[in-house]
Amino acid sequence: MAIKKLLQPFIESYRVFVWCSRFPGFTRWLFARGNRLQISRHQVHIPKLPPALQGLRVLHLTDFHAADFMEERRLEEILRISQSLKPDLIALTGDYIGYTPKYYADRIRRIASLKAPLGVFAVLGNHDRWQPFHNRIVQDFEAAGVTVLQNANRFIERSGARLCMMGVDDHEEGQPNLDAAAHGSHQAHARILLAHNPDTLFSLNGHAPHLVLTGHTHGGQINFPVFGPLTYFCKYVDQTGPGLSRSNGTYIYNSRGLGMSMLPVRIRCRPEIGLFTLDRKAE
Amino acid sequence: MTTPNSRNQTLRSAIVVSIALVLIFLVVLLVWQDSLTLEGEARIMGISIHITATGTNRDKINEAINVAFDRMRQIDQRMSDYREDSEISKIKRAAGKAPVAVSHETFAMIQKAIEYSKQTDGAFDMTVRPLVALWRDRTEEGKSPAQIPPNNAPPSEQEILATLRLVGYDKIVLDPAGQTVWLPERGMSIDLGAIAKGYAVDEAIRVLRAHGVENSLVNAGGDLYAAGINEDGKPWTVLLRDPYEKDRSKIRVWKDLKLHLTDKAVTTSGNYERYILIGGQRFNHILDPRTGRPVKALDSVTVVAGSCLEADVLSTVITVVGVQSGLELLKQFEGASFYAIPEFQSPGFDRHLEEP
Repeated sequence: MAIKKLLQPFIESYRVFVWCSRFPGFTRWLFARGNRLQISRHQVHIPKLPPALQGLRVLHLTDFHAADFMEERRLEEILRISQSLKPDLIALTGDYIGYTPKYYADRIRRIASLKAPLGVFAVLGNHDRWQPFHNRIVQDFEAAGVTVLQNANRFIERSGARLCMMGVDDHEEGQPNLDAAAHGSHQAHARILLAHNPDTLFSLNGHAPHLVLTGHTHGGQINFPVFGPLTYFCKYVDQTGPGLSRSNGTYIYNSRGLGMSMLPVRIRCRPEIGLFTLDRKAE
Repeated sequence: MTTPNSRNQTLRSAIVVSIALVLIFLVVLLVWQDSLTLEGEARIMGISIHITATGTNRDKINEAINVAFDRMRQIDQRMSDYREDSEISKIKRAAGKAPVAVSHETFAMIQKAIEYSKQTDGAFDMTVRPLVALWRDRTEEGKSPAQIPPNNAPPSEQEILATLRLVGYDKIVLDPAGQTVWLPERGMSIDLGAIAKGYAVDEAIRVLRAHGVENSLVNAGGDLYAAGINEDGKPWTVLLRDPYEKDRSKIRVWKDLKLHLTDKAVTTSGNYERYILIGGQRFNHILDPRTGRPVKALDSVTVVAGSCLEADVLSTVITVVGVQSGLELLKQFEGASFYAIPEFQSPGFDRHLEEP
């Protein structure tokens, strides 16, 4: 009897939730508000950038967690807006699938359908690495023309100018090797590093990419006023905060990502598509 | 003295109130105003121009909108063909007399227009004005019966041929060193009306972006550019109205079209809004500069392209050259597509119609 009385307020609160669920449209709207997409545009100033790379547009997409809380329609919308922005190059920094491996093949196929004149480059995230079939993600991406960079790099030539795309394995679940990823990269006029988890950057070892694109943190996903997010799950971003930061001439970007993990809610932390334009730094 | 019963009651109320407060806190967070959409309207180039812009700082957005309008006014001041003080009017007044020094911007725009004329084999020609004047003088639209001559008829073959002698982009003399423009024949004219509006829209977008406003929609009487996405995080939705809405005698082939656009411009050329009426007959207001006659082929052409300037040129030219030549022309303009009436859709246009 006493237990029932003790539980009574919780039962009443539950009734409030049930009553709220009579208005699914309102509830959906409420959660959809926090999940409205944004496009974040940034200029990346690089000294002595050759004219052939001036104005180059790099599109950054990360942390889709497709199939967890991302509907097919939503994914299509993101891909369509991304293509409309006419990037020269697309960078993907992991967590394509979430906890649910459901629809995996379909979601990877859709993401891999992205096209850019200078190519689409990807690294894997911890959620991708958790999947027993993560090698298939690499195969499916490669088969569709997406270059997966696992501690490796690729050079892109444009009218004599060289751009180096580097990719490092996931910090938590993979075996990151920045030295291997950056091997020979100093010969390039512009160097872009893709890393899922910003904690990888603690061991940058003097490699100096001009731009580093990262994900993983979702910007905290739930961002309280004054207090900020509960956690970023990342020591590096604890220090720098999400978004754009500078370190020894390197632009480091930690994206809020596109999807959601654990909870189907984003508060004051809208999902984003990043668009970076390379610009010659004034001498 | 409090009884155990009333203590329970108090505890219960406290828990319910706490949970309610947490719920309210969550709702407040979720509806937190993290961006806003502002609109501005101004009358420039003789039309009403609307700018819709989203961002986080009200003052910054308002400032950006005002500077964008100022930029459009500056372009109008230089390139308008209605303003007596515009550089274009000065060039026209000096036709057959002397070269006129113009601003770097107007000079570059005329050069660009000449490039487009070459690219379209003269289907686009900014010197078409004398022909337009010849046809517009005969229009009965907006005139009282007393103002219309008794035997009002379309211009004769001789009249058209005589006027064609004053038309031709290749007759314009440009001096890059002195930044001068010269129309060698008296009666010649330059009209940037077909593209200046599109150019002004592109410039307004450039200014908005330079002020940090990345998501905006600039609409200059149907010439519009949709930059980025709207406040809901979706592509901008643009409604194109049914051209036959007011004319029930035509078969309705096109219901209102909804386009979903990100970083794209759209313009429409057609005779359903403007036309020349002679002897009760309706002629398209767009003339073929090569024949001197109004075009009959297409009632309306809507072009989606990467810039409003390009869309303006393409919609004007495709109305003149028709669907097949239009498709050939599209190959030179990456990412452009069009919708024409009588109903025709170029490859790629349906992409903008899909519901996101």
